[in-house]
Amino acid sequence: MSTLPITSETIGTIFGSPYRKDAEHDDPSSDYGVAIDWLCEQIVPDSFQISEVPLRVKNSLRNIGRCNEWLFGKFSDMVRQKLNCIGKEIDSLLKDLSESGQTGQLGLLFSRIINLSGILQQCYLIVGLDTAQEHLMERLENSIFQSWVTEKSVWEAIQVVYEDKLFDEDGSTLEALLEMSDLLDKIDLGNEMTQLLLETARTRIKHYVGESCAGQWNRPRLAKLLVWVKDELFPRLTKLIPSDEFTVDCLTSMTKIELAVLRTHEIFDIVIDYPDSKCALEEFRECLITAEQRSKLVELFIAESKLRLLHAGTDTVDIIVCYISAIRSFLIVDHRGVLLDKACRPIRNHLRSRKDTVQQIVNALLNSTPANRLIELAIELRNTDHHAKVHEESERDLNWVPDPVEALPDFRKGVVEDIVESLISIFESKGLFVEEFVKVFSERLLQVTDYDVREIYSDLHLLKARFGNQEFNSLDVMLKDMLLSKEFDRRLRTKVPENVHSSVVSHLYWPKLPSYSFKMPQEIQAGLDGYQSAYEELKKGRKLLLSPSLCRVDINVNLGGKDHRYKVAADKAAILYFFQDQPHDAEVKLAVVCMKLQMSLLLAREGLKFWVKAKVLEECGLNTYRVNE
Amino acid sequence: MKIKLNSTYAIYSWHWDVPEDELCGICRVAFDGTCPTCKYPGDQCPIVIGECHHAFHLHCIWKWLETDTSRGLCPMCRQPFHTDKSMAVNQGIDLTAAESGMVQNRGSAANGGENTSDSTVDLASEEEDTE
Ligand SMILES: [Zn+2]
Ligand SMILES: [Zn+2]
Ligand SMILES: [Zn+2]
Repeated sequence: MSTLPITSETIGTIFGSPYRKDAEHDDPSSDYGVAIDWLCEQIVPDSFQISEVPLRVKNSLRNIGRCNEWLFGKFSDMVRQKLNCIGKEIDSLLKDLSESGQTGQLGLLFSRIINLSGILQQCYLIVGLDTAQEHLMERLENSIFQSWVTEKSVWEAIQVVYEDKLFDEDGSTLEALLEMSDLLDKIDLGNEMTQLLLETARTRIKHYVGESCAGQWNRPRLAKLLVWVKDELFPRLTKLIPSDEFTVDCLTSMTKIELAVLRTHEIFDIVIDYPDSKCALEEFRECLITAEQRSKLVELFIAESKLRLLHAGTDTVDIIVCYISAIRSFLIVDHRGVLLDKACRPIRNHLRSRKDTVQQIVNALLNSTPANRLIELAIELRNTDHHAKVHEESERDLNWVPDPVEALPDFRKGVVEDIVESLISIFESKGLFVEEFVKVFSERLLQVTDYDVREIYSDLHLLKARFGNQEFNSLDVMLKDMLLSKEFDRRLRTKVPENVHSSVVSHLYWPKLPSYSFKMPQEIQAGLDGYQSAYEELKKGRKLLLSPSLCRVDINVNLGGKDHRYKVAADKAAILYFFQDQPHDAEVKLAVVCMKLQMSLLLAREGLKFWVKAKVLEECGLNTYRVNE
Repeated sequence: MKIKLNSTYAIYSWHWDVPEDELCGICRVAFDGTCPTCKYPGDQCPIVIGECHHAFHLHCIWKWLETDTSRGLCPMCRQPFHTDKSMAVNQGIDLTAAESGMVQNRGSAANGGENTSDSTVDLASEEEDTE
């Protein structure tokens, strides 16, 4: 609020007064001089009552007559000069005020204004101004008083008083505040005061919201806040705020805004806390109104997730867990999914760049044990409602409606809403997933030793429902290989030893099988030879290639008269067979095992370590082993 | 220490026993894979070797020989195409399986390639057979 210096010219311009310098009227002995001089003496800030009008002044005024333009001109000029004069005095008083920082001087200033305004009122009566003139004088008066009150240090002092006293329980302080408000309203600062009070109220609300809601996400807070606003805050403010437009709704929306600000700053932790933070999220939605609030929310979540989540050291599963929580959380705040789409793009980009994202998602989809930290995905995959959902989606496509205005151009609602779909769609093509599925299924199928693939088969079914049939050609072939192997095994029963079985795979459709080779123990090899020639006899024109390290054997190891049963890979069995063929108590070096079995160092070392751990072998020197008997 | 072998479970991969080229001369796909219209390799999409020693997926050469331009000649060497009876590969062909593979493929091709139930039915019937 700046105040124009009020000069006679401006008064002339504003008031259109015919007043100008004139010898006769300046004469102190003239009637004008007598009246103005006396009036001037009366305008002092310390008194509030004008002494009785002396006879000579009365006479002069009678001579001049009521509503005299010349007198009005001189009078208003005098008042202006006099008030400015007093203003300078007050100025030095205010200097002390700003230096001492005390608000006590405010009272003095206000009482002076009240006094002066009372005296001026009396002067107007004596001079006999008409209504229009009186009105002009009031404007002059107010503009000068305003310049005093709105002086920076004074205004700040008023602000401090409001902040200190507005919520004081003491009834007398309310009285004092009422007086102050009345005065401000009287000198035409009602709007500014209302502004100030609302600011004070906002500060108070902000403080209260912080105190009662920060970190409290698991129970409703908003209703309690609004009761406080209605019963505590509003009754006080409504007494002080003159405007009729001020209603409890102003404070209610202010409160919602402040709660939204708080929740916006807390958003990352709220997401992490999901589902315990559901309550907070639902109230957050109620408070989130403007586009600006929404973009602020997105901006902050992105900043926080970059700061706290998206770096190399974070575990991929943790990021996926957070992403799933973010999906669920943001869909509560914004059903349309637009905010979710915007807020999670950096997470999606980050996951896209991680090497093990696909692997983790695939493992999570297929593992329905509690050990799966992303078990939600496994549950979601097994949720048969999905088909209905897809159907709905396509129906929705027929009744096309435009995307929400704030949505980014490639926004796809159906994708954003569905947890599994969201994760899959991180990657442009489903090929990466299919590759990973093939890998995981291959590992599982190669572990099967009883031809029972029902569980894997039903998993494949679920995946097809999600990813589409066409994607799983190799998996179909892999499963069919297992079924054909089973059938073939049955046909061979009469021709091969009872205890030899196998899976025969179509190698082009499986991931590359490990090619570790080693010398198979004679006893095992004999069974395999029989099996292999029976196959080649039956399937003319084909030959079989063994993957030695994928063979598994079931053996009993008799150690010190006790039998132990092991189901191990053939390479491990080969090592044990080698020790069996050694003289009693022989000590064998690792290098000898490698050489005799034509086995890689890695495989030999692993196998020896396995048997040492099983206490079948013992390490009797560096890289030297013997039977633990 | 004494080891007793209870059972062995082996993992094998099967390969067509073809001497030279591993790709079908017509569709240029590996023999151990399938012709362009088949889904399952092996019994359902076998290979044949001609007297000229050129090898093809059975379905590929069938289709070729059905065309007028082929005049019964091997597409590689233009000699009359006859299967070499002495080759083990040619003896192992299960014509029922091969024809069922062909029929199945034609059926699915008519569906615009969307063989939605094909593999399911297939696997289910296999399951029944073996039970
Ligand atoms: Zn071919
Ligand atoms: Zn074929
Ligand atoms: Zn030829």
